[in-house]
Amino acid sequence: MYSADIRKPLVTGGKTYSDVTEDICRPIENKPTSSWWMGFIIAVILLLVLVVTLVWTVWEGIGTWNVNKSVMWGWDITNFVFWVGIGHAGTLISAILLLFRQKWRMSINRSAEAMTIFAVFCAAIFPLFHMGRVWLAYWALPLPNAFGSLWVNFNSPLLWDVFAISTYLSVSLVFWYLGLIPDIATVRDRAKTKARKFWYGLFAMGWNGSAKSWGRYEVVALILAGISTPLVLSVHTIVSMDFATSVIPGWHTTIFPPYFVAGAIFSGFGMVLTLLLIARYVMNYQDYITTEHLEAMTKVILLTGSIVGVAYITEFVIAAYSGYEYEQYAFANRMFGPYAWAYWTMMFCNLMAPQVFWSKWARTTPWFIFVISIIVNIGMWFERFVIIVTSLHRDFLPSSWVMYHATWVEAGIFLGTFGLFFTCFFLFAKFLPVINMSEVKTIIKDKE
Amino acid sequence: MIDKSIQLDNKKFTVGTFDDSDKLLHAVDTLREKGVKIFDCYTPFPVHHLDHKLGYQRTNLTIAAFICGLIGCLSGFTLAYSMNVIDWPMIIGGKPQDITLFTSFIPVMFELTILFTAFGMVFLFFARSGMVHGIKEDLLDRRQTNDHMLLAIDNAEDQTVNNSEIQSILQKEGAIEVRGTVTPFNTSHTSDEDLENSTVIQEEVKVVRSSGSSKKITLSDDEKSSRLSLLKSTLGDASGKDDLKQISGIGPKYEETLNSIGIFTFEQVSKLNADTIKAIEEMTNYFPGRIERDDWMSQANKLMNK
Repeated sequence: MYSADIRKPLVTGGKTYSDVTEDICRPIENKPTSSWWMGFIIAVILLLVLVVTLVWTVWEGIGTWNVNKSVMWGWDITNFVFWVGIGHAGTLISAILLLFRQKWRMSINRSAEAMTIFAVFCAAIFPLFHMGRVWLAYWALPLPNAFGSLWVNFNSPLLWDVFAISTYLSVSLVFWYLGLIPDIATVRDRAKTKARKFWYGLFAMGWNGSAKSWGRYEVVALILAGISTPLVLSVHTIVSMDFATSVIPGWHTTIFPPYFVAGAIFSGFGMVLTLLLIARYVMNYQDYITTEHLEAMTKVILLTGSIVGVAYITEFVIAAYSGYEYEQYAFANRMFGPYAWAYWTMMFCNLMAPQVFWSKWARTTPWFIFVISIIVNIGMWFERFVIIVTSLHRDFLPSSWVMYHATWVEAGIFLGTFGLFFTCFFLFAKFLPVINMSEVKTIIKDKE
Repeated sequence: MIDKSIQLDNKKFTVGTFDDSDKLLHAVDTLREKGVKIFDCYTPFPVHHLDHKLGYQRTNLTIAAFICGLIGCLSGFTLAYSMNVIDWPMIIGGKPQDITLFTSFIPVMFELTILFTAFGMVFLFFARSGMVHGIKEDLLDRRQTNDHMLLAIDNAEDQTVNNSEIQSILQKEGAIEVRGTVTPFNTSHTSDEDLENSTVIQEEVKVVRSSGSSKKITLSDDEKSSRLSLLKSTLGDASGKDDLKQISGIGPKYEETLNSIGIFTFEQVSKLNADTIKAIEEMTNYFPGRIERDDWMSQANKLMNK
């Protein structure tokens, strides 16, 4: 047992191995609570909003959105980048923190990874439906084209995105599933009902915790973590290249990849905190997700928030220094143009608000962290909105300058993706162990 | 070569059950020093160094990972090159249409490297361990995925020392339970009634209880009543009933057990001393030493004064 006395224990309440099993299997083995039902029903209602607005989009056409020839990317790509970014915290926690041997990741990695997967589902909806004819989405894959031997264009960052996002989703999914197997086996061996025995037995794949399997399992987990780390960095790098490889003022900058990756981690941790603060309260997991965990996560928010802040300022300084009038105008327009309110919201939420985490009180007070986490989520949505819309609505040719406001359909789709996200999350919280039991059992006696 | 420690093929095992990973590691060391061949250990969580102590070689899945990655990388290149250079070159933005396009292929090659490595790893892991959906699981103890750590020895194997000696070594090493002939069973493919009636559970009745500190004791009626009166005289009668579950270490089930021997209040718990703790442990077969370790007395004191 490793012990560092200056640190507080990672799991409090003097839990034994079987206490961990009992606590974490409780939601799976009992009837859902009324707060679960309430949350789930709200989520399903929002999910219905998504279905209605998507059906309407397909039925009536992309004309139901307000995107036009100048602002051809509006809320849809804003939301796409927003959701992909949110996913990044999950992989960061489970992969990068594993490589850094940060043990505090262990009680939060399962739910953060689940969040990654659900966020990527939400993200995928936007580019797919923006294609207009969503049933032809498979044209984005490198398949021989039936109308001639035309292939996909490997010069295009949009194609890179197809590869990056689908790799990200599938690798996250197998990583998540691999981590779940021992815990699914635990649920299987406690199962009292036939259905539970069958389903958990099916997905546990005969796992019985033999030392030989564990040895192999740990090597595989380490390799997956090792390759997921460059993956998570590459995904948002490639997303940023959707913008950076174009010639639009405000997009055409080399700072985009690191700036987007930092922003993604920042927004992801914002969402992880929002979700975990609710989950630990509703499911009574204060002993597993302690203030130590919250504090560690707020420190990541502080760091990445500051990186993002520096990037905003750098971007502005470089634009001013470039002597390139279009670039200079793009930034002046962001700050003082018709979308200035969005720019200053972004600056407040991302640059200023997280700086409160220099104070220990702010880092350890759950309700306050919750408020800031919401602000971070809002701020990061506005960041993408500012980048996309302000750069597009006034470009090189003043005759094509327009204003862009979303329609109820676009707003409905965005709202609806929250329904999809939370429906998935509530189902996950009911049917799978929210905390990685087998990993937590290795640290309940540790202090680190 | 499929892993035999996942599918146990109705072998018979001698099984030592531990509740502490350090004891398990020590037991493995001792047995291997004596030349005993250990079949495998089964733990609910990864116990560090256990695989080295059991003498397992580090898996060569890492080499496989490299090969999978290489295949992925080359596939990415082949895909892009054959489509955009050989089969149907496209002039886009005046960019070249030869091997110098390579720089545009890098993101795809990179992603496919990762994709192939991840899937290759996971599938090889399943294949090497013989894991597949719908397979029946072979367990030696229902709690091996919960809180019990097992050390299993194949009875059919030729050993340097005889079986009863192995069992006594396991007991000396602090196994909470040692069983002589255990047949593997599974939980998800058998109904609970069948499980209860199966030989597996019968085995457990014939468990060779280990001696020493963690001995499970069955008391005669006389012994019980003498201990009950000791409790009564030291702790006094209960006035009302407290929620004993608030004490760390007491669950709903154990609370009932405590109630059944006349302990209902924090006040009574706070008065526990060495003799009464021993009596409780003997009567309820509670983990020896846990009550003192968790310090129920001062916990109860605090709760009383709330």
